[in-house]
Amino acid sequence: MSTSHDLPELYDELDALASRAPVHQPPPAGSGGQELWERGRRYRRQQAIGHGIVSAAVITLVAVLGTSWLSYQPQELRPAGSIAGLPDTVWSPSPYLRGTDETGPLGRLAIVLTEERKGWFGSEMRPLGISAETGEYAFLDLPRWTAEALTERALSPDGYSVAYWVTGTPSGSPRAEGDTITGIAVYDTRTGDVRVTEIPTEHGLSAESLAFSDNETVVAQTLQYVGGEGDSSMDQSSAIDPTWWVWRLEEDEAERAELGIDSADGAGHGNVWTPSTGRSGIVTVVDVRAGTQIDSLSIRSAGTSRASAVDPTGMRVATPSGNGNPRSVKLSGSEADSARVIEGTEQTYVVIAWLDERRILLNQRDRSLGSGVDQPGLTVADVRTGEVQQLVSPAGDFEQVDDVGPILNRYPSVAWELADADTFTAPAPPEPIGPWSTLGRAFWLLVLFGGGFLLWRRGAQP
Amino acid sequence: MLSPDEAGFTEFVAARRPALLRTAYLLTGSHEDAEDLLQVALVKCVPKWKRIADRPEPYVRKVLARESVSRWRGRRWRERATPDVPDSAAPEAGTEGRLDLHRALVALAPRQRAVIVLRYYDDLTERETAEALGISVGTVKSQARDALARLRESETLTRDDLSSTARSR
Repeated sequence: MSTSHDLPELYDELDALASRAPVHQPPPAGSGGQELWERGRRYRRQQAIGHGIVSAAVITLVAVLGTSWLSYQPQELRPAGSIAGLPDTVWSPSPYLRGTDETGPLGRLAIVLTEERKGWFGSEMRPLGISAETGEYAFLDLPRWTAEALTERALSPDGYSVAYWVTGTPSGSPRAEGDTITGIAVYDTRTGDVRVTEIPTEHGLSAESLAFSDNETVVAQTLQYVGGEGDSSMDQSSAIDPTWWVWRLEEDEAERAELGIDSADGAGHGNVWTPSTGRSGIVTVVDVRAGTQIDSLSIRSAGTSRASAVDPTGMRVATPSGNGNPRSVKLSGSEADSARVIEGTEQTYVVIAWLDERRILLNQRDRSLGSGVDQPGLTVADVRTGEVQQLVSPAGDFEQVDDVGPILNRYPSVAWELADADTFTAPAPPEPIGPWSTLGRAFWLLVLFGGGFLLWRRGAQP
Repeated sequence: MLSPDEAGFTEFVAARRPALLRTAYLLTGSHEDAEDLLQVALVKCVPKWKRIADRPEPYVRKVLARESVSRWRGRRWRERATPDVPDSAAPEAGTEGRLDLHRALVALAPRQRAVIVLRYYDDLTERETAEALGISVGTVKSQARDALARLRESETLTRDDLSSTARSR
């Protein structure tokens, strides 16, 4: 490319033009060497202030974002692969906890709760798992999840599987409103894999019951909605054709089953049982895999729905009964006059499961918290001796905070096979700052420092 | 008592002010703006003086050129190519070509103007010009080509005009 040597004429022209510069005039006032030096020193100081503002802004922003990130980090988790057990304490979880899409599978679960989950926009009720190995809390990100079912999820007794209803596309038209349930899924808590069995439906299913009768068997009951979009609102809200489904997990699909009962109140030890009816009701116990009725148990007084549990033999049922709620647990068998109150089971909400033929796992009010605090915990009671052992307690400053809902809510899903293992000292879950709070802090910081920077720039002229 | 750095700076300003002012005048097109530009550039060099004291001129010219582009880019619409050179009552005889060049130079974009001045007045190479302005060598080439084309269009650089213009200082 040409230079001034190649274009001497241009250089001459420029040089001639440059000669018109006011070089022979004395420098304007304040532009001598010493004055310029002083101005340069002031400029350097102003630059340092500006750099300081920017640095402070960056550091503070990093601190805010870092604090927000740290708030998501769990505290002192047990190492992965630790011996599984139930946590000795359960905390009220933050609605901003991460989900398993972020954390990865939690491994064997101890407890599954249904909790409010919040994000950028709105909130919804979602299943939350507590790891039996690490103690970590995380929302379970279950694909095609719906919260519209009566029993939206179930945890296997060993804590390795979560069954839940899934949404999908029916063969006909779906209803105009609400989720369209079309099947059942089982989530592997170790790998995160999900298996789905679709149930044929024209307009969607009304999901009635869902439970694990044992670790390898899911039992569910459905109804079929009568109409879809375009049909009358009555048809869209009516459901018929109650059907039992049994999914043996060694198989790919669920199969229709004839269990001979209208509804289920609970399941376990291979059985499913009906709710009791009336003041002196009958509980029918059915062997799920065999499809045969084991026994009809008589309960002296009516229990609460989903609160009773049948023992491994299918011969006895434990039910909170009496006036009020919570209540003492009564033990009933085939003979109506065999009913008796089990010592030590006062203020029980739910009998979660029979651990064996002697012990029952209870969702019972934690009396150690004082008379004014209504918070359930998990206890194990010996039905023969009345000996009660506290396994899991709720944590929190209940005396300072009024109106705290039950942390371990009335119907937690518990991997009750872990009740025989030692409990572990459970770490508290993190308390993440919500995304809007983080954004708000960052925004106000930017406004504050940005304003300061702009003010500085106005004054910092060389 | 001046510090060594301050003494060196003051000495440099006294010695090189005329040459730097000429460059500043070519970059801005007006006496007042040239003084302002030079003062701003020198003030901005003070924080770096310790580092550049041995050979300050390249850095000062770099600041001069970059400041001329950044400060005056936004003011381009306010610049007017007037028939008369500011601070001059009437054009002198024989300076018509110079007036055309001044007008054409002022009409260039700030960066094009800076490239012309650095390349063809300060005699920097393409690489030195690129480094001074913080742009690529390719951009220097294209800017110079475009600027020269515009100067030719304004008939500033016709052979007849160039041959008739006497060098005056």
